[in-house]
Amino acid sequence: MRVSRSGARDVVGYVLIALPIVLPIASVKANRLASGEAVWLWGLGWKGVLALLAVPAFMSLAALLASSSRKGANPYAILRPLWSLMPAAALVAVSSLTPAAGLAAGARYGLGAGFWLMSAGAVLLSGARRVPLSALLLLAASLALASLSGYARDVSLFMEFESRKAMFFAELSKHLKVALLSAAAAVLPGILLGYWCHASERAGRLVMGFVNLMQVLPTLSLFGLIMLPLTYVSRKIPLLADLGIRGIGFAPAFIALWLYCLLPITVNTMAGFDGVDQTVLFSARAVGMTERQSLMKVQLPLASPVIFSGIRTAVAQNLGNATIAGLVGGGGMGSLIFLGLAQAAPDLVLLGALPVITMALVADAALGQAERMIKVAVLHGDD
Amino acid sequence: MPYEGREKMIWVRRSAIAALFILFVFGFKYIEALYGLFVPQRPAIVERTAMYVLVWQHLVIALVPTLAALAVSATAGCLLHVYGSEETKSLAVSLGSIGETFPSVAIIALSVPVLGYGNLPCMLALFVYAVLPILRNTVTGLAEVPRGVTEAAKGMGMDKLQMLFKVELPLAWPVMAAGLRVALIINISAATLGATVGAGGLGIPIVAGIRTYDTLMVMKGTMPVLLMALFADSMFAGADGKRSRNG
Amino acid sequence: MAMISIENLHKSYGSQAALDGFSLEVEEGELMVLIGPSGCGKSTLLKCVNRMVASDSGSIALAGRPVTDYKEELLRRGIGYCIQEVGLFPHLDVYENIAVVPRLLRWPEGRIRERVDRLIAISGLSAGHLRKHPRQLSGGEAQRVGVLRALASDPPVLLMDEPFGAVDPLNRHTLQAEFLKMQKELKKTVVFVTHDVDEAILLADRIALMEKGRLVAVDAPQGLEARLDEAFIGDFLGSEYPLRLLGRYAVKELGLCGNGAEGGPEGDALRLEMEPGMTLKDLLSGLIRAEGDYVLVTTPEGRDIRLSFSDIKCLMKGARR
Repeated sequence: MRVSRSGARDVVGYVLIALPIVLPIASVKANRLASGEAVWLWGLGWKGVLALLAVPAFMSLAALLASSSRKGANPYAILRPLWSLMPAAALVAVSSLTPAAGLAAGARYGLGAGFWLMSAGAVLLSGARRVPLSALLLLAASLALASLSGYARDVSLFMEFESRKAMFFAELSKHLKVALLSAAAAVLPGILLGYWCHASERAGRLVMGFVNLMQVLPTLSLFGLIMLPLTYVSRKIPLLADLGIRGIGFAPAFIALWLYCLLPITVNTMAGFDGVDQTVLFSARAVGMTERQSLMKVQLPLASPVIFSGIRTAVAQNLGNATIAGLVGGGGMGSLIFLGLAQAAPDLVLLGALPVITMALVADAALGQAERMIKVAVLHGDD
Repeated sequence: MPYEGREKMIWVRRSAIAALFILFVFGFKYIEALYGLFVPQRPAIVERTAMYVLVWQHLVIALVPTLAALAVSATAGCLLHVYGSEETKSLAVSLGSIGETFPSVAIIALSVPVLGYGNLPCMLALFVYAVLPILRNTVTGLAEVPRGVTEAAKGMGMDKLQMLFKVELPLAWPVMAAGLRVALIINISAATLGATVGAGGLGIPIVAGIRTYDTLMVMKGTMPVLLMALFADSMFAGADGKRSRNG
Repeated sequence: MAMISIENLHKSYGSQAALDGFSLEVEEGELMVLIGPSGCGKSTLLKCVNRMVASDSGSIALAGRPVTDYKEELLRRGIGYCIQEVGLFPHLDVYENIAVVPRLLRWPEGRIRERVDRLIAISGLSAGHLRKHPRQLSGGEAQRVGVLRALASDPPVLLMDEPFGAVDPLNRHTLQAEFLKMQKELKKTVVFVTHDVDEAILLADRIALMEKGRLVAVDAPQGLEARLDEAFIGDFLGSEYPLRLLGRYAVKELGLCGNGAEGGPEGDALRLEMEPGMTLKDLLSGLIRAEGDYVLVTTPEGRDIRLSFSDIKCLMKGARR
């Protein structure tokens, strides 16, 4: 059937979606730390199976419609993002396992490999070439709705979340704070540094050498190496300690992340300015622009898509690296992960890791969209 | 002659790195003593594992996944080049780029429930991380072989497999090597993260140093890692013959 | 007083002398074509006038004032400059590209709008082009925008460096004709660099011939014909120069009355319709093709005029007076 043009991607997606047939979709666990007993597709009962099949059935219908109507808008292409409703539907399906009397005390469901791979497949199918923002938003909204309506009540991941709600949101806000603030603080210095590297060859070589060194230095080491000097400085200057700048906590995480953000922004700014067509630069001078006017009216607009790409890399990278901040007392999702690892509680680890991955993906997708819009606005074309 | 001069420079560099490496790994007590002159009162930490053991563990954790990624990605890249369409290539590359977007810490943490504590989760994450640079560079490198050369080879009567091994791979090798270089260097430093899930390697002193606010301990783990990465980098500079990463 | 006075200009790049004592005077409203073999320094000369390149010694004056009197940027805002690669700003649409210099001069919006509309009207572009971006334009369209951009602030002087060189021959003729028409109306002082002799013959009020950084000859195109015996001039312009020169004289302007008898036996004559843009060269070509010794030209009024070779030579002499 004429479904879309990205056949290979779709094939992978369909295979993944079909995996619950052979992989367990859930497991029943007696308590928080026990490993569970596998639950297979047929163990879900008819209500559960119906919930699972709802979305694929609907989308197949849309696909059939699309292949029969040759002209006009392709209804399947428009409805694609609806695939991302599958994970929520699966949650509802799993919840149908609960007997009327409820589960035994402490018992809960774990989500199996079948669930995760099927969700990955659903997300893949939700976009022809890349995962659209609308699909991600639908995914988030549907999952939130399912949880709030109580369908996820007995899923162990959700129970973990319930019991740690306060900590979760506190760490989440710390994570976002340190990641986004340090990225924001690195934008202007990064751009200035990048321009300097573009203007001066020596500076360019120097900074590139430094950049390469930073890439080689282990992330852990950077965090660790900032701690002692910072502690020393904050002890010597009481004012800093009063402001909350100490050797551990927010400050070293902020500084380390800020340094890591400088790299892509600087490199991209330099590349952006280097990439401006020489003839255009010549024209700018020839019509009588001053150096400053040429910079502001011509070079900066033309370099901005590349610069923004650097900012996007920095943000996505930061959201991931902020996880390590947990080691230096900076909080963030890393605290949940390391706590879960220490307690050997996989659900806690999941509770910490999933948001990090999601945030990184969403930020990358959203900023990627913004980057495309900038390209169109500046160059009136998308290539 | 400038070329010979550069060769010499590379060997000087490598020897310097190797010398520093030996100092840090086997003669750390001298560094400690030097440090002690400047910074008094350091809590003494009992060494549980000898440095050279940690170095060996680190090398295993870093190199094995990288080489595995090389095998898998290079093969995949070749297959894609010979049998794949533009579309499958871009799909493979975008799947591979998952390694770039997913934070490595998250991958390590998520694989613990499946693979348990220890070296394996770290090695899995490093594998995923190394796939993209190598795959992307293999695909690009093979695609950039000049058409004239491939046409001539076809005209001589080579079949697709022969062309791949005798013509395209040798020509694409520099680009692939660049990808391998990136993957290797990143993995050498990222292997330190394994210490958070009980893996061996030089991450152990770094994490221990962070936990006890001991900068020297952090340096003890960091310097050998840095030196190994720089050494690996200079290995590629030699093979490349022309450029180092910085120029 | 000449609009542009260049005196004894020297410029060297290392040991290479690009300009070696170059002097020239360009009158106001004149289209001076600067021509010469590649490497003779013509582009360098243009760049010295608007100070994109700093000369080593010598002086350039615009309307009496040395160009060094002005600040670089201000000087350039008063000079229009077109280059072969055009160099339109890719992030601005056609309107904004044309409006660049007026904006730098802080013209009020209404005045800019008026000016752009007027320029579009006298060019080969339409108002529909205004919102397009450079990447959507063809080579010819882009170069037209380049010319308009140079004219936007109504500068007294226009410098053009092989502007039509990168355009295909068909479009080039159109662009040249359009530019000639514009110049008749605007009467700017233009220094036009090219290596194409036909282009020079078509456009120039005077031609300045350069070699190795020096001025070899400067005269109206027909004046240079007399000097074809001189070594360099003959070599560069070529022995067919008189023939090419014929392409400069339009038949319509010369009038055909009094030359050649009217009517005549058709038998071995070639019949030509008098078209706009027809030149003496076309008449000569017709004569070559004809079986006999003359061509029959049909005027728009319907008269037939018979022309032989001596008639054409007579017309030629008349054109030169």
